[in-house]
Order: sequence, then structure tokens, then C-alpha cells
Amino acid sequence: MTAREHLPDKIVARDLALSYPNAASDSGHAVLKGFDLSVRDGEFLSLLGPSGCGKSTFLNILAGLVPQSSGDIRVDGEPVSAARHKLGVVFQGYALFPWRTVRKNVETGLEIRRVSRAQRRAEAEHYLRLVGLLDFADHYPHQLSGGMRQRVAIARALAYGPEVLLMDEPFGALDAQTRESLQQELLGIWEKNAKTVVFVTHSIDEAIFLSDRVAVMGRGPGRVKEIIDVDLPRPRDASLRHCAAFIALRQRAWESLSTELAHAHSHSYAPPVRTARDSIAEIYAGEPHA
Amino acid sequence: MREETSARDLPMLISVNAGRARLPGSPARLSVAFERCVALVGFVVLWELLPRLGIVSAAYLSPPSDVAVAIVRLFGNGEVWKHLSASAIRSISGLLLAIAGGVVSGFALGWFRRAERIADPLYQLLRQVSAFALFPVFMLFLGIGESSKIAIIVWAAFWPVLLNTISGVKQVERIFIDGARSMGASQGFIFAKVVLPAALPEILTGIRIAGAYSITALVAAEMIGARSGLGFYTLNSQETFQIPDMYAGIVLLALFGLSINQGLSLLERRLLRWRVGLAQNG
Repeated sequence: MTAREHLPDKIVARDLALSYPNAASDSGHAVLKGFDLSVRDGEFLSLLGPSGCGKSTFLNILAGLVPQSSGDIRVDGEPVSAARHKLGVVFQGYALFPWRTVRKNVETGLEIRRVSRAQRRAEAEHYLRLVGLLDFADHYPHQLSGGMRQRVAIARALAYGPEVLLMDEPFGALDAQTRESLQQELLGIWEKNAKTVVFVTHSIDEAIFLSDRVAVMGRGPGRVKEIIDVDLPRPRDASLRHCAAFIALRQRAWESLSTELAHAHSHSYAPPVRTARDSIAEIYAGEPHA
Repeated sequence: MREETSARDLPMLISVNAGRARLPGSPARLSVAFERCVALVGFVVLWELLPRLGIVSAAYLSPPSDVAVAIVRLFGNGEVWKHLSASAIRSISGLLLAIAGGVVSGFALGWFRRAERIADPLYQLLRQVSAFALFPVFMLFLGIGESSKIAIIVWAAFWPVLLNTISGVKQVERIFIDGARSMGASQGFIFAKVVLPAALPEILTGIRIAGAYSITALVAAEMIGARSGLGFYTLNSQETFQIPDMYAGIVLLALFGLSINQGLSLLERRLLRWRVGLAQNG
């Protein structure tokens, strides 16, 4: 996607930091420090990193849900608090309101914007058709499978027309087959809607398959370590996962991540809840072809 | 049989309640109905036999057939409506006041953690204070009229509503609130359309407990100082040796409590229809 290189930056984060006060020391626990990232208008960018590296924290700051400790983050030059209406978020699992039907869930953002009932209904049906779930409009979320729920969550985030879609490991809780088919479906939706997407994942395969660029994160504290350009043709389909260029990119991302994991292991910055070995195992577990 | 149809039409749908859908009049259903009657019928027969066979003196224990006659007479001369309406007005107005106060203050305490930490020792102490112990205080402030009787009911019913609302509001999952905020929701929208429905199951449990407490408090209030109401009627019948009427009052109070409870569980089912099948399917 060389064409996108000349596009203006949609999201710019400069020297972003977040630390939580720590009772044990004066310094506090730094989750993010010196975090720099620019996301171009209309691109699909993945944030790839091991669990606990702060990638979801960055997404929460970007979504305006958590304030940063220092540094600057802007969407179209505006602070995130003012740009919230431009953003749609898809969370990892179970974020749909269980007391609302699928239709009412998708209408929520429009209801908040005081859109008329008739228009809400029409918009919701448009996006439910887009994710292939119009027949399930009057079901409750718990009556749907995990994959269907995440498709509803995508429809809900798209329904009020945000310019940027933020996705926090949206397919993390799904089985491998459902996950791959939803990745394919997401690409189809993205190509039709031309939104900027920031996609958080810990799966190398998923990041490369979906993205124009992959930002590899390091931890202790979290920052962007390297950006990998994914020069693979679009539209993409499942056969791409077997081509040499894809495998080479995966290898490169893997090397970038594994040095990071070894580094994090020798200096225990984060609480030693999980070891580097756990994280490596987890990254492989998300990959059917590994 | 709506569940069966939808399950066939939509194979991916997890069928809800399929096990409960049975044909009316089937042997399984009849046996359930029989099981549910057995204890009740046995109890009434035993109650009838004990005084009739002279095992217990009929002066103390009226047989249910006499009690039924007393109830029919109460309905026949219309006296029942005076007592029933007095009891209903007291308990329902007390319950409604308790629900309003409990939900509003429970929302405030559940949302503002600091306020809850400060208020917690106070209400943990206050809720242990029996409504009956406070009756003299209420009489002192409010007099012997209706307001002191309603106050005793409000006191008894307020605590379960308050405590369940606090706990329901505190347990609302972060992700629901974040989800609404990410879509640009105002604080008002979050309270009314996210926190309230998410906490509603617990609030309604509190309201059902409050319903039961309000009946207990009602009877006590009516026995201490009243000229009407089912509680008054029961005690007054005993004092005038109208023993079948005393039991009639007790039976009517039980039926009244049962109907309050039924009404509240109907409300609960109506408001929580979305939860059908949720427990099984996560």
C-alpha cells in the first residue's frame, strides 16, 4: 500500500506515558513510556505485542477512556476528549449489553446521538446486513455464538459512522476457524468502508494478514519498537498465509518479538506474573500454521 | 412452543428452555401438579382432623372448614374490604417509599465509592435496628396515625433495597460503562441505560425481600395500634374469642403476602425477560 505513504496522519501519539502509582515505591509502575506512533488516514495498522506490554492501555488512552500521565495524543490535530465522536471501539468479548437485543445494541451509538427512531432502525439494519446477522436482529447476545457476538460488536461500532475503528483483540476469545473467517470478513468490511483501523493483537499471523503496517511493541515499559511495512497485495484471502512473502514477514515479526521477550525476561520490569516462555507459547497458540 | 419453532428455524441458535416445553395435560405435567398438591392437601386434612377428633381443643384450633365459613361471612358482609384496603394502602405505600429511597440512595452510594466507604459503618449499624424497636420513636414523632405505621414498614423494607442496589451498582462490569463511553454516552445515559439495567436483577431481588419484610412489619404495626387492617382484625378476634375469625385473618394475611410476592415476581420476570436462558449459556 505504497499509495498510503503520502496520506496525512490521522492519529499522532508523541512521547506518551502512563504510570500507575505504586504503594511499594515512589516511582510507580510505568505501563507506557516514550510511546510514539503515527497512524495514517485510511490505513489498517496493527499493534502487536506480548500480553502485558501495554497495547490495550494505549488503545484505552486513544479511546479517551483512560487519561495519559504525560505526552500528547491527537486525532486530526484534536485532543482525544474532543475527538471521541470520531472513534468506534470493538472490545474483546462480552461488551455487548446483555439486556438489549442485537438490534438495540447496534442502535446504541445512534440513540446517544439522538438520531430519530426510524433512522436508527434503518442504519442498524444496514450494518447488521453488512455483518450477515440481520436475521438475528431480535435475539439477545447470549443466544448467539462468540463469533456472531463479535460481528454484532463490529456492527455496533460502525453504526454511528466513526472515522476510526479501534479494535482491542476482538477475536482473541474465538476458536481458530471462526477467527480466520472473521479476519476475512473484517477485511471485506474495511475495504468497503475505508476507515482508519487500529487493531490490537498478540497474534503475529493475524497482524500481518490484516494490516498495511504492523507496529511491534516492546514492554517494560511499553513503547513502539519497530514498524513493519506489510507490502502484500489486496484484496487478500486465506491462500496468502502460505506465500513466501507472508512467511518472511512473519519470521521478521517473530524475531523482533522474541528478542523483546528475552529482554523482558532478564530484567523483570513487569510483575512476574507470566514468563517470556508463556508469552511465546501464547503467540504460537494463536497461530494455526506455526 | 415458541422455543421449539425458533430452534428448528435457526440451527445456530442455542435453544432456550427446550426442556421445559411440554404438552399440557401430558402425564409428566399431571404428576408435577400432583406433587405440588400433596403436602398442601395433607396439611389441611391434618388441620381438620386434629380439632374434629378432639386431639387439640377446637377452642384453640378452629378446623379449616369453620375458618372457610368465617372468611365467606367476612366477604359476604363486606367487612373484609375495610381491613384489606387499609392493609394494602399501608404496605404498598410503605413499600413504594422504601423502593424509591433505597434505589436512589443505593445508586449514589454504589457509584461514589468514597461516599460508600464513609456511610458503610453507619448503615451496617442502622439496619440492625429493628423496625419494632423504633415504633415508640415513630409514634413519638408521627403520632398514632397512619404515618407511624407506614414509617415502620418503610424502615423494614428500605434496607434490603438499599443494600442490593449498592451491590448491584458496584458490580456493573467496567466494560459496559467503557463501551457506552466509547460511543460518546453522557453520564445520564450511562446511569439510565447502562447502570440501571445492569444492576436491575439485584435491585429486584432486594425489592422482593422488601416485599416480604413489609408484610411482617405491617402485621406488627397493625397489632400495636390500629382500628383497621388484617393485623388488627386478627388480634381483635382473638381478644373477643372469635377464634375462627382469628384464623381467617391469619389465612387472609398469608394470601395477601403471597399475592404481593407473586406480583413482584411477575414484575421481575417481565423486566428481566432478557435473562431467560442466560444462566445456562453464559
